[in-house]
Order: sequence, then structure tokens, then C-alpha cells
Amino acid sequence: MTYQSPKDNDALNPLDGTDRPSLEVPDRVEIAQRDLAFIRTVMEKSRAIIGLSGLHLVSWGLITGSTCLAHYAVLGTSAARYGSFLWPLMVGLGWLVSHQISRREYAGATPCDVNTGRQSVERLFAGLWATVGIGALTMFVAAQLFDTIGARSQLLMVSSTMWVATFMTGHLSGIRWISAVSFGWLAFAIYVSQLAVIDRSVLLIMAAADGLLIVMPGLLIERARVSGGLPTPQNHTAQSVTYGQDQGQG
Amino acid sequence: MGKYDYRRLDDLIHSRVRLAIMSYLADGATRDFTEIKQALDVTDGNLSAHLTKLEDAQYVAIEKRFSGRRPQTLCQLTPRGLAAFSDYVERLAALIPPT
Repeated sequence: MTYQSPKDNDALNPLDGTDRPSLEVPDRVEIAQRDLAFIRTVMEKSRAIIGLSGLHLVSWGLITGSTCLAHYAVLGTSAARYGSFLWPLMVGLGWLVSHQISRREYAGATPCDVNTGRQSVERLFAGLWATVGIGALTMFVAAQLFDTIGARSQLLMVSSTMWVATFMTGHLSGIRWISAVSFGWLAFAIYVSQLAVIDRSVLLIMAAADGLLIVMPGLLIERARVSGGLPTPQNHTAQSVTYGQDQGQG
Repeated sequence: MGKYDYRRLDDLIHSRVRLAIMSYLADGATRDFTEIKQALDVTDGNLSAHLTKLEDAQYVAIEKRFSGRRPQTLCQLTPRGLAAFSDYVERLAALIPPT
């Protein structure tokens, strides 16, 4: 059924002349319902696309990957016991970079003072990754104080936290393939749990996982965002809002 | 109110494309021109013309900037636009009798 608003069809426009047939209540109601349904359709489509910056993922992935490589290098030297101190530095650096990205994202980009849904989602996202940082920091402190958390446990905790954080990132942003990618961290955790001996080469594998499971998705998101369309499932499956088509009843 | 009375509706928003733009921006988020164009399936010229009208009415704020070397046009509903849109939806809803 073709949608025709009053402006699209002169015969329906009561403002264009008194000789036009006036519409009775059912037509008025039907058109108003269609307009509202149309508005709802467009708003739902808009909400499905969250302008999440992939730079957050890229920066966290690069920082954690670099920390893994640095830790791997340190373990081969006489300063091996200081390797763990790299991780709190990683958390601090990650927060700093993430904060700067958020500042740059919104600096001058919002001409009016409206608290946006997108900003709310990004705050949630930032909070989520801050939780990852706090978790890593707590684990480091506990490991230093009590010396009871072994390398295997540390790797399992880090990979599990990364799994949850990446999964929730996909869930919050509506970019569901990120949630699917996050299961790579679960696979990594299973791999670590089954290793007979944890040696420093696991750090190399973790660095590679950072590249594949965080940096690459971040780059894909950023690339899609800059080109103007996110490769979200909603983007691919939602029907285009086409004018002149019935948008359905509300 | 027995007649189909659209005279009480905001004529600026009532245009089909402008209504779609306003609805798309209604969550208050800043949206990129290209994103809106793709989502609403309209041409550059069409979208640009309608955005200009909305900007002239101060319903939409438009900012042009560069993202790296790429020019970027960002659009966002202004508080005035948000109020007008809410009013429009309320008036539209008022046309529907309670069930």
C-alpha cells in the first residue's frame, strides 16, 4: 500500500481549496497512525546505529599487545621479576589514551547542549573498559601482596575479563559481530587452561590475540564509521526507509 | 476536530524527508551527513536542501569539519528542533482517538 501524506497528494490536502473532498475521521486517524509508525521506524533505525569509536578498541588492543611483548622481552633478561610492573602502567596508559579519544570525539562536535543517547552508551563503554583496568590492577596488587596468583590464573583472569568486556562492547553498541569475535578470548582461556606448562611464549600468543580480537575489530569499526556507515547487523538487515512505501501500522 | 486538520501541525516538519531527518536525529545524537543519507536512502542534493531548511529554522545545527583529510558534515537536533518535533508528535498523536 502506497503511503501518501497530504502534501504528496493534492486530493488529500484540505489546505489547497474548498472544492477538495474533506476526509472524515477514519482517514485522518489512519494517516496520523501511519505518520507515527513512520516516525517510530526511523527512530528505531537511528537507535540501532551507535556511533561507537573504534579508536577505543584500537588503542586498548595496541597497549595490551605491546605490554605482552614488553613483558615477554623482560622475562628474557635479569629484570624478569619486574615484568609484572608493566601491567599497571598499561592500565594507566590505556585510561589516559581512552580519555583523550573521548575528549577529541566530543570537542566542538556537539553544537547544542543535549545529553545524547550515544554519549550515554559511550560512557557505559568507557566504564566497562575502566572495569577491565581496575580488575587487572587489583589482580596485580593481589599478586604482589600475597604471591598466590600464578601465571596461569593471571592469564585466565585477564582473558576472561577481555571476553566479557568485548562481548559487552558488541552488545552495548549494537555491533553484534563484535560479541561473536569476543568468543576468541574464551578460546584463548581454554587454551591456557589446558597447557601443561605456562612459559613466556604464551605472552606472544596473547599479543597476537590482542591484534586479532581487539585491534582488527576496532580498525574495521573505525573504517566503517569514517565512511559513514557501520557494518552492523541492523544496517544490513533493516529495510531502508523509503518514501512512498507503507511503513506499517503502529 | 472532525476534519483532517493538518493546519495545526508544523508545516516545516511535515514534509516527508524533513520528518524522516527529524525522526532520525530525535535521540539528540550527532550524526554524519553520509550516515543520514544512507539510512534514509536520499540523494546528496535532496538531503542537503532539506537540511538547509531545517538549519534556517534553527531546528538542526550543522557543523562542517575535517576528520583527518576527509571533510565531514555533522548534524544534530537543536533544543528548539527537539521541542518542535515533540510538539509535532504530540499533535499527531492527538489526532488519534483513544481506544
